[in-house]
Amino acid sequence: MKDSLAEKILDYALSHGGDYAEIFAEDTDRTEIVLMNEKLNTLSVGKERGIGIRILTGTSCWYYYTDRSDESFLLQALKDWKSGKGNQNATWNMPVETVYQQEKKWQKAELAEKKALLERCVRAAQEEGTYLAKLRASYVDMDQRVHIIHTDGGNIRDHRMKTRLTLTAFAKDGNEQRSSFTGPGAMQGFEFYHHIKPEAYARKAVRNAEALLHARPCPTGKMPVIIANGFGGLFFHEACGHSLEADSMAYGQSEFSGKTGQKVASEKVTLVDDGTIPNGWGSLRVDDEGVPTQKNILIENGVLSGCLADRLGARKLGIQPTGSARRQSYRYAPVSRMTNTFIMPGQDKPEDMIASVDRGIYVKNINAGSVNPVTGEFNFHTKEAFLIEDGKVICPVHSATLIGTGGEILRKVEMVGDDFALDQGYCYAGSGAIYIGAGQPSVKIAEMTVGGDKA
Amino acid sequence: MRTEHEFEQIKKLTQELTQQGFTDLSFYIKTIEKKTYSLDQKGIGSSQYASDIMYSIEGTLQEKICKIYTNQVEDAREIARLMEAAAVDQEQAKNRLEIPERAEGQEQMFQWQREEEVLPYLEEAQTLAQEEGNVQFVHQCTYEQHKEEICLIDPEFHVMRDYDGYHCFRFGVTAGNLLQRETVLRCMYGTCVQDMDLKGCVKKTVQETAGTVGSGGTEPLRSGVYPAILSGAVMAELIDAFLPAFFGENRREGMSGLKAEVGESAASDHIWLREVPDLHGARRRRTIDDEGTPTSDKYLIRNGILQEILHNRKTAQQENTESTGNGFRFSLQSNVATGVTNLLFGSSDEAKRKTLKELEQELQEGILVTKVDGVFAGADSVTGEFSLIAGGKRICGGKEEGSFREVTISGNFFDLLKRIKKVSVDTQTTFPDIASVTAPAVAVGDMIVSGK
Repeated sequence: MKDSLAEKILDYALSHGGDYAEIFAEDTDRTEIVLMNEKLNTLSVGKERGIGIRILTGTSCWYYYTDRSDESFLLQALKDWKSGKGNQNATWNMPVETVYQQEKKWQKAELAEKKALLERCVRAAQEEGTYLAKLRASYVDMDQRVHIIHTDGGNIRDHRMKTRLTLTAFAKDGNEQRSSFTGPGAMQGFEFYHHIKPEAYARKAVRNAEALLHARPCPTGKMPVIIANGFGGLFFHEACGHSLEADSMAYGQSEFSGKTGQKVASEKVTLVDDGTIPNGWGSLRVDDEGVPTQKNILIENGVLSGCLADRLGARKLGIQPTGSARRQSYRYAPVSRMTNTFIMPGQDKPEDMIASVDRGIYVKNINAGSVNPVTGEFNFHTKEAFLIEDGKVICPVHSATLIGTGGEILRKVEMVGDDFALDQGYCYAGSGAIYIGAGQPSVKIAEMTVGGDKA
Repeated sequence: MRTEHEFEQIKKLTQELTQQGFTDLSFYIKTIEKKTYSLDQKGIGSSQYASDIMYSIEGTLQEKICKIYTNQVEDAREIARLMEAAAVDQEQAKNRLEIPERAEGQEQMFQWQREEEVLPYLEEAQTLAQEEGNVQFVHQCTYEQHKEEICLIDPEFHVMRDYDGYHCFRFGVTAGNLLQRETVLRCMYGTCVQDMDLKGCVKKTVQETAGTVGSGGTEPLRSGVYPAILSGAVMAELIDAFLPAFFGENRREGMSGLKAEVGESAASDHIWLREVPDLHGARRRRTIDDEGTPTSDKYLIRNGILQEILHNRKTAQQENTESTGNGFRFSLQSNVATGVTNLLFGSSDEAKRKTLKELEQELQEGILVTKVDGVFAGADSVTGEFSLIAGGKRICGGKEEGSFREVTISGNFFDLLKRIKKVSVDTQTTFPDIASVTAPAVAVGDMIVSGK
């Protein structure tokens, strides 16, 4: 967007009663390829460009988005804003541009190379599997250029590149079919695939899916649960991460509202959201309001120490933004969301955790979950679960939903392992689907409700 | 499209791409306009407006298929570069878009409402709820207007248009006391705010929330098997989650938990599931799908028998059949997959349609499940299995007596369809975020509950 047009829009907003205004201009290329075994199932290649204009007046928000960038159209669109009393004396100067440069250029690849990468994964999976029915191999990349100009003195250009593989293996024996997935991703270009072993991820998905065959019905009721390291961190993303976003925390809506400084979890829990992790799938240099990302400690040794705030949420809470404003695209106004969220490692050994359980569930992989931040009730669905009896992992069990309330479960964290890992996924909420990291070491919860299928 | 200029741009782009060697060019163009007004819990208004377009362009270059999406079509060279980069070998006969001449659709009336017209209704709704004793706050009070135009252009430059749009009121309240909180979110659809019973929606929402935290209190529910009624909202959400099992591609790939073949029993013998594309006051009103095939009013299940599997053009071709007019795109960027317009679920047997109170009376002892969450994760359309966090009310002696929360319910959806004994006369409809499904409450027999 031309600075002169941006200046006109922001001038209009400030001189007609807005006390903050911002333009988010985006230019994004995206490719998605899906193979079902060797066969091309989906190919989506595209490019889009758009603008989101936001004006704040106190805590009132006006948002407009469009694909159009012509001056007359945008200035006309502003007329839909029911402005307040104009402040003709509002002073504002177009800030100097800050450009975030990638030190080492991200590598791009042709469609054929991307497809060949998936074909390698399919071949590796087929070599590995005895019961493999199919491998769904998906590749996605996104090359996003954003220009954020706002009246708090920001004129920022940032370039983001993300890429990810999702490999879902379906194992079948007779009528029974089970699946498992792996999903490595990063804020990098195609060079990411030179640093990892894609075939190894495919083989792992196959092994995990086959291990789930002949699973028994999952028991129901309250019991100890051990959640394995890595994407198990989604558990805390749901159990308390969303409830610590400013939109939830404002106006006393979250179960954690007004509890900063209070003990809300077992002292073994230190919860962090860190958007600065180099090459992290959930990382960003600046958030979608142009605020540099940072490491936010949300819970420290069990004590609530912070929350995640975008500008509007920060206004409602009377705090500073934390570099946590995110949106899927210009079609969404930014809200506070997580980046890479994880539990810091502890000193317990995973094998000791399993040995400590008489009868419970070992969750090796998680599918997805959700939370009601107002009540704190969360749920997450296991992808790969196993029964523990007498301190040993006995057999796979059918997938189940594990539930609880964040405030209650956080206090029941009994052991925290030393085997930290960070994995990748997506989060779907108010400002669309965004890429997030979720991580943890293995964690033992003393007791939670397991929604199995064995009465 | 929003302007004649945009249409002329497509003509120009077609000429330029043709000069560069592209043939068989076809376009899918979706234009979206939105106006949303909302009040936060302190009564402060916010609004969101949108005017957006997306083009999906398909063509052939040197016998390769090239398909892309974009929202910028001024630069033909950039489009050509993108299409060339996306070229893939034709693995099957191209699904060429062919539109009959003069197939222009009829624009449906869509009445926009201004912020100043809507806000008084929202304020009134919020005040009405806040006057109730145990309502802590209104966490959602939103009026959404959504209009879209779908334009298809085939290689002969025949044009076909369709129009869709809705008005939706979303209302959510949190009620509670020092010990517990409960939230309920409801929505309703219509064509203008004056004709929609916002107050009725507010009253129902408040009543439901207050009922949950009110009389009887919340008691932990023990794990076990309970005779159950699922509310209309819960049943509608479950139907949406298991809908992919009715899609041709999933049946073909062995990814459908619906094992019945067409003509076989798939539900209790009084149950029907019907798609109604042109339903007045509903969320969707489409005359063609996103591939230009006419939509049609049809039964998926009738008298408990599976009537039809849903197809788009590609999946129909694979099965040597005709598209059922169910080729839809899930997002502006996605390819055509299978989808629906409006689904209605019900019972054809008058004797099996009762009020909710009568259903509870007949149940005597059991549970009424009024909400579930995490359906997108905890319901698997490949196996039919579900395990979901749930809340609701206990039924004792045929009456609601206290509430329960934080339990899971689990089972197999396709088995559940065969166990439906009776349904309620009242229905509820899903939120705009998922497929449009309207369903009554259903008495489903025993349900596995994991609780205390």
